[in-house]
Amino acid sequence: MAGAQNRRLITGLVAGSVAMFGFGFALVPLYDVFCRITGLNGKVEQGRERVEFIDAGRTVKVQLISSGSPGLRASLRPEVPTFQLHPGQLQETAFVVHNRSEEDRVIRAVPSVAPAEAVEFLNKIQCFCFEEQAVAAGEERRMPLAFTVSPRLPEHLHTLTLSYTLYDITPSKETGAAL
Amino acid sequence: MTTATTAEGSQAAHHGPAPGLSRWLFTTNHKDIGTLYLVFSLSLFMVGGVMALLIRAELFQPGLQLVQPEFFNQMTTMHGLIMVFGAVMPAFVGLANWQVPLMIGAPDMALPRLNNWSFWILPFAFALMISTLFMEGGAPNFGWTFYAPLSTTYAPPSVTYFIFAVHMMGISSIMGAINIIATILNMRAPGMTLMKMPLFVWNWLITAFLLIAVMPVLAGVVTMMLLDVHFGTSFFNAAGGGDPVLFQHIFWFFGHPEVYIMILPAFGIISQIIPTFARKRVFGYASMVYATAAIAVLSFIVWAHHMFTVGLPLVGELFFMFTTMLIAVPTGVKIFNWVATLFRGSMTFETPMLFALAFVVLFTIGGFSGLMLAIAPADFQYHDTYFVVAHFHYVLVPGAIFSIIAATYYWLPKWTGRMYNETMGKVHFWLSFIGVNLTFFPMHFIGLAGMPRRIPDYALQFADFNMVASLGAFLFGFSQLLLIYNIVRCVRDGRGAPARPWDGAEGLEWELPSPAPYHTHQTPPRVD
Amino acid sequence: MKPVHGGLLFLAAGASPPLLAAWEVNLPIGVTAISRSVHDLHMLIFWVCVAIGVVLFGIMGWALVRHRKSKGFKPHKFHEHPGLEVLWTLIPAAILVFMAIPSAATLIEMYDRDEGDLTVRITGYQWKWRYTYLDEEIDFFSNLSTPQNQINNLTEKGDNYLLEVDRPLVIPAGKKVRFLLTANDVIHSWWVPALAVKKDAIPGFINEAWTRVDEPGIYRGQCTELCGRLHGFMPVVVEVKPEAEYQQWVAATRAEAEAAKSAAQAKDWTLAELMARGETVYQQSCSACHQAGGEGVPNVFPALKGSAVVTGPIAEHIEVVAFGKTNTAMQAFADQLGAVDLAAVITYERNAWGNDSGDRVTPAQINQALGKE
Repeated sequence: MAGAQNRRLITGLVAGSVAMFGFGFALVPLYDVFCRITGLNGKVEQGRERVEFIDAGRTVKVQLISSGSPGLRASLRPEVPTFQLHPGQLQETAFVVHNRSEEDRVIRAVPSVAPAEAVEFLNKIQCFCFEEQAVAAGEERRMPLAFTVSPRLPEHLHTLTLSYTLYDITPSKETGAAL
Repeated sequence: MTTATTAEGSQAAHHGPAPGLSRWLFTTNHKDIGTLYLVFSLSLFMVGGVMALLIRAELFQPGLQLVQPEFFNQMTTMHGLIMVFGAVMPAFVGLANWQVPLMIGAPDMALPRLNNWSFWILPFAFALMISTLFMEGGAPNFGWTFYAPLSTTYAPPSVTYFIFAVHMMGISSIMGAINIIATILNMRAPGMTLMKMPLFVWNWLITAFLLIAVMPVLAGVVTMMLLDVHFGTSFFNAAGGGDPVLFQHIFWFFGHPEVYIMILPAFGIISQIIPTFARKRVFGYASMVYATAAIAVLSFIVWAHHMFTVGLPLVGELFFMFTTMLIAVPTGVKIFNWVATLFRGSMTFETPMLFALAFVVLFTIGGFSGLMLAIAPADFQYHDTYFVVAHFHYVLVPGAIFSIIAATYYWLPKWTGRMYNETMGKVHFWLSFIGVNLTFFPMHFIGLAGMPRRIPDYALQFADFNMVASLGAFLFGFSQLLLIYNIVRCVRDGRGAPARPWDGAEGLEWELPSPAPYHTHQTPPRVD
Repeated sequence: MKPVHGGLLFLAAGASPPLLAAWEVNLPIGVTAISRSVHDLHMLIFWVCVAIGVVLFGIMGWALVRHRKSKGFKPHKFHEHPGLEVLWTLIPAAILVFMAIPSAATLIEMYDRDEGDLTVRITGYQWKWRYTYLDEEIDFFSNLSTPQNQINNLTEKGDNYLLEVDRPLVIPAGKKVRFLLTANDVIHSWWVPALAVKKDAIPGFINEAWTRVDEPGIYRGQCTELCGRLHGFMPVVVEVKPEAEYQQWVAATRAEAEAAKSAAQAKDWTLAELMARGETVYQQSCSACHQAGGEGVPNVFPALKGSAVVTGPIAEHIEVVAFGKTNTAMQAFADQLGAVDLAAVITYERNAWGNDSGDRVTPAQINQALGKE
């Protein structure tokens, strides 16, 4: 019967569209997995500790940089901008955040690595970027960072850049829900 | 399978169309709804066309003359959205409404009431979208691809209305697609197996599946935008841990199949018209079907070729480059098959045939530039320049739009029972053909010479070709008035058309009288 | 194409664009090894397309001329031929494989990760570029320098209309320059055709590209990702200098930056001096939106003439100019303009067009407001 046949088909098609709507949202976590596998977009994984040997045979250059964002009243700068280090060697350093405004702010530093294929080889053991940071008015603070470059880093990579973009997320905390 | 539908049909057979406006508001008749879709599409084609002419008028000379940059951006955005969602897609749905039941021997669409709703959502969706032009902060100005964060954090307030309009269009398209699939799968006349279906029907069936697969993804991505704009989420906002590039991936996961949604029905139309006027069966029917299916499947794994410059890893670039090049193979098969159909036919050159032939040639040129764009290292030079604008206008204007015009001339005698004016049709063709090439061919050159797309003003070395393109655009735009005039004249006082106005035409629709009666195929025809 | 020839050809075209490039129909060959191999690829795929087109349209044209009903041609009956159909699946596939090999090779070359001689960070802003030399402590913005009057057709357009900036990116010839791209607000895309470098600058993320230019010269490009109102007005200009000249430029630029810093403290600026400097800064940085006479654009850009902010408390005025207004087109100028320029432009706005407050805003006041010493 056409009626029953139609009903079955239409149920299937509607279910299909709903599923594809869901799939659109599923792409969000899938994309993260995809980024982790391919290093797409220089997305940085959160601190993984690994015991690895030190490859004293070669030296890698690591550059630390930071960028601002619109409406930002704070600055972020690396204590030491460039390191030459052996893969596997633990490097401890810090960024200095300075709240230039007269109010307490909450900031977040979003990390990114170039070249993208190096992401999985730059391990951050300790990083201020793991959580948002409260900075008091006028405060200048040292925020520690510890990282290693994996000895498995492909031979053709010589320079890695770790970049932080600083965002002021105070307003979104107060007014985000009200919008 | 057909008993129930026949019973329904014979009930309806006692009624003609309702009088007056209510005929159109409450109609569930596939022919009425098809007409509504086609008229709606033609109106929005004119609205989008006026916007295109405004853009071309501003670009006639370097410097800012007519409009300010922010209004220019609103025009490029609205032109794109209106042409894609308001002109091309509804036109194809309108053609499907008219032709699919006629061609497969069904009395109507499978879900007539749903059909009425899916049309009547559209005028509201576009009223909402066009009304944003008059809102404070102006209409959407972030391009039809609405990349975040320009379309979220930095968008004008009207973005919310834009999102709702897109939702409405999406729902309309999905309902339309469900209806078409149900009609094709469940309502074919006895004896019409899938592999006997006309190619127009086949292509629409595959298109409808594409629609169901990707329109919900578009709905998903605009929903995420809505959440980002109003509810403090951070899908695409780096500050909250989101990623603007994610937007592009999801958008193009919808967007690339969408491109084929706008061209597969065109392939179907051309595969109907060419055999008719070559008086020869279509060459390689089966390979045509397989090629369409292959294109549809491949369309899901090529999306990132729109994103070669966002910084994909090398393996990603290689993968998307190779899959994109692969699409040239089934597309090539279709083009070769059309040429083989023409070869040793017995051709005549009525207006639908002229448009179909121009389609084959100009779509192929669009395909060539597509192949060039697939080469990732070269795409670094072409990306977001006028070369890309030239490419997609070649596949959409002399591609999709020409096929719609060809279909209109081809089936107009069946719809109205009258002939259009052939001479005027031919004049319309030649003006359109010259206009299209004058407009879009120089865009290849200015793109290669380095002019980015979506800019209201440009450096002096691009001036000459821009002037040519603008002149061409006005020629093309105004010659479409001939089409409207010809249709109006045809409906009012064209000379009567026979049941089979084209002597080479084959198919169930030509067995019916012209004009096709309000209710057709009440008793399903037998197909051998 | 020999590299030298390619470079000369482009230089010739680049030297006087309006005359020579007016009817330019092809991609420039460019001045880097990459741009040359991209150009070769482009020509190769182009000729492949032309060849396919000639065969295909040739056969089609033949049929259109010969197989007409009006010539009494009777239709043949064939409608399939498996051999033929397989053939025209396989031949294009083979052509594609042939194309894929050199394309992949060039792509791999572009992804070369060898050590760079210097690294420049490129940050896209609405609507200007910022260049930060990581090791040289040089950091500046690059704005469109075409006057508004040319854009509004009030004066004749110059040769490099819309392709000229106040401060170009300067790089040394023959050195590998690494670019790190990011953006401050929305996505931009940095493109110089002659270098065949086009890469998106994405807020919050960092992208990498590189170039090595052998031929000194000036190369121009534009932003290629729609980034809002003035997307068409943020050109890229790269000046490639011989190594020695580049070093001189580095030294001079550093000295200039030092001088500007001390000027803020050392000098006591008078109202007239601030007004004069402020007008220049205003025309450069503000007039594209707020218009030359401070009248703004109704419903789009507020007028500054008689505006509440400009005639109100100085602190709030500094606040808006320095940090912008969120969710509007008003950008933050704290990073772009030095203390002197900020002081000058704010003073100018408070006194021009009949605002006549008589306020004098000093660089010291600015530094204090920005939390700088």
